[in-house]
Amino acid sequence: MGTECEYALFLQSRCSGAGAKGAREVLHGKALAGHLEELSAFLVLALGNLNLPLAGEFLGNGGRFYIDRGHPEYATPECRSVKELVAHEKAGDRTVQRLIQEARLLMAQTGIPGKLHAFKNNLDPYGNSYGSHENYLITPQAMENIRAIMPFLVTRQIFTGAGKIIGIGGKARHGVSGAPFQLTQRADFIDHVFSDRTTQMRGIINTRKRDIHRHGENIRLHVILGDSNMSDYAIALKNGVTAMLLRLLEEGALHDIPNLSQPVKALKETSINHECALELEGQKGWRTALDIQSLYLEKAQRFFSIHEPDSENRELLSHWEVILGALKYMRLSTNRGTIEDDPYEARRKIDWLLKLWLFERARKKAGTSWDDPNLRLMDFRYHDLDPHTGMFERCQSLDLVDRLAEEEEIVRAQSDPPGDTRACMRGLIIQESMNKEVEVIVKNWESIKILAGRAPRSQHAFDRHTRLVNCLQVNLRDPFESGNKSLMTKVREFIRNQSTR
Amino acid sequence: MIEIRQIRPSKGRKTKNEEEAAPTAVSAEKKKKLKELDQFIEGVLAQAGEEFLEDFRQLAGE
Repeated sequence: MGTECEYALFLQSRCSGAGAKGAREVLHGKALAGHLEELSAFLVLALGNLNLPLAGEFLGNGGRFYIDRGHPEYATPECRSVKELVAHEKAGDRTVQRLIQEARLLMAQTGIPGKLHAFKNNLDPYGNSYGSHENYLITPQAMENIRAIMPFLVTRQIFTGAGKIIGIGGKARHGVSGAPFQLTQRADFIDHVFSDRTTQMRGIINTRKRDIHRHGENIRLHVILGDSNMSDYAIALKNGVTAMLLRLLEEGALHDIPNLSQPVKALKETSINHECALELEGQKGWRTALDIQSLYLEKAQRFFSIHEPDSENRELLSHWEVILGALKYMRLSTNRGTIEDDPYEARRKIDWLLKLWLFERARKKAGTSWDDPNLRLMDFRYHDLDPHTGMFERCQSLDLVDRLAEEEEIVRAQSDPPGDTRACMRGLIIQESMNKEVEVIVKNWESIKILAGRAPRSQHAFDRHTRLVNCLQVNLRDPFESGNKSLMTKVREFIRNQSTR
Repeated sequence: MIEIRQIRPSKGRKTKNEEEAAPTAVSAEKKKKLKELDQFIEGVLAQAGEEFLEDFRQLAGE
């Protein structure tokens, strides 16, 4: 499995800096796109300055950093363990923040005033939506029955939602009497159950086909409804429990799960009111999101009472049960948007609850309403990766949130690939070719070409031809193949031979 | 829709408002952290400045 996070950029001084009050304009359309592209370009320059092992967009830890439609994006390397995935996603956040710091210096040198920020968020202050995508390997047969996990995907937002303020005005726009606050940021941008697009007509599941050639057995499941999470627990449960249920699906253990009558409607309604009544196909009555999650938990517990779980699944089951238990006893006034009671401190693990709690503190101190722009600013600042200005980062440093990934695991994930997937080979090749007389071209997640000599300045046909002849092709078709000793020996020999010429 | 969850009596640990907790060493530590957090929030908002917030007002109104 692996995740892809898109980050929102924001240059603070553009607003708070010089200029008469009426003279500033809010950017729109092409001007906004141009502005964001310009900011992203500084990150690319910064990447070059950091002297990290990299090959094009791919990094020495096996992950990928790139600019996608004008915004920065980080894709983790392929991971088999949830704990490792959490460390790698967090490592991606750290890398982006390092780039931001370097980009600030470059911008200052260029004379651009202000301070650049990256938000790990699904929204930016301009109203653009940013994705947080998940990738899983599943069998084609399981894909045919994927509807069986749809109620889970729709309702998991009660512990994976990142939270979003909508204010009193937003309540009116939504035509609801619910909270001035939503559980998930992405719900408003999802309009279909299945879609092959990632912009505009977005689906809960993206059906853009990508075969994974692992003995012809697996295909990629691309889930795009998730929020970008700051909390370790939310990241772990979002990816870990989804992967666990996919296993149950493959084993035929989810055959009698009832379908939601209207999944997209249920997604949006639960986001406004986590206790709203959801209709199930062919069944009388209704269920809440928590009821549906409990149903899946029960299925998983029953499955693992027969099939011995490994330590990671055992831990995940326990975390999932604890979080659902904590939510069961949590009391929320949806109309006022206040936490009445949180006896098991679920906010230490759930982003939307922590954010709501922070809003409450700020509102109590300042006596402000839900439409106060200060709260909207806080909403964004929660996702700020800068440890000096980020709200979540500060809560973490004050030990007000629970962590799963150890600090040293995150630091290691910034440089080292996971040892049990093909990312290992990719990462090692990139690391070992650094500052050597070769050029590594990582064409995609499956294919690497190592060319003799460093990238030539000349594009002369003779130079190009010579390099294409003297090259080594590495195919990484099986995502689970972590080490091919003979291939790695060949790679090392090739690199050494070029260096000794 | 349910305004406030009709809750079963909660079991085990119950943490009401942190500031109202018993004055133990732990709560003193926590109080200190919460105070730090509040100061941090105030600082972030103060740093934003009136002009910065004006943009949020405009965007929220769109």
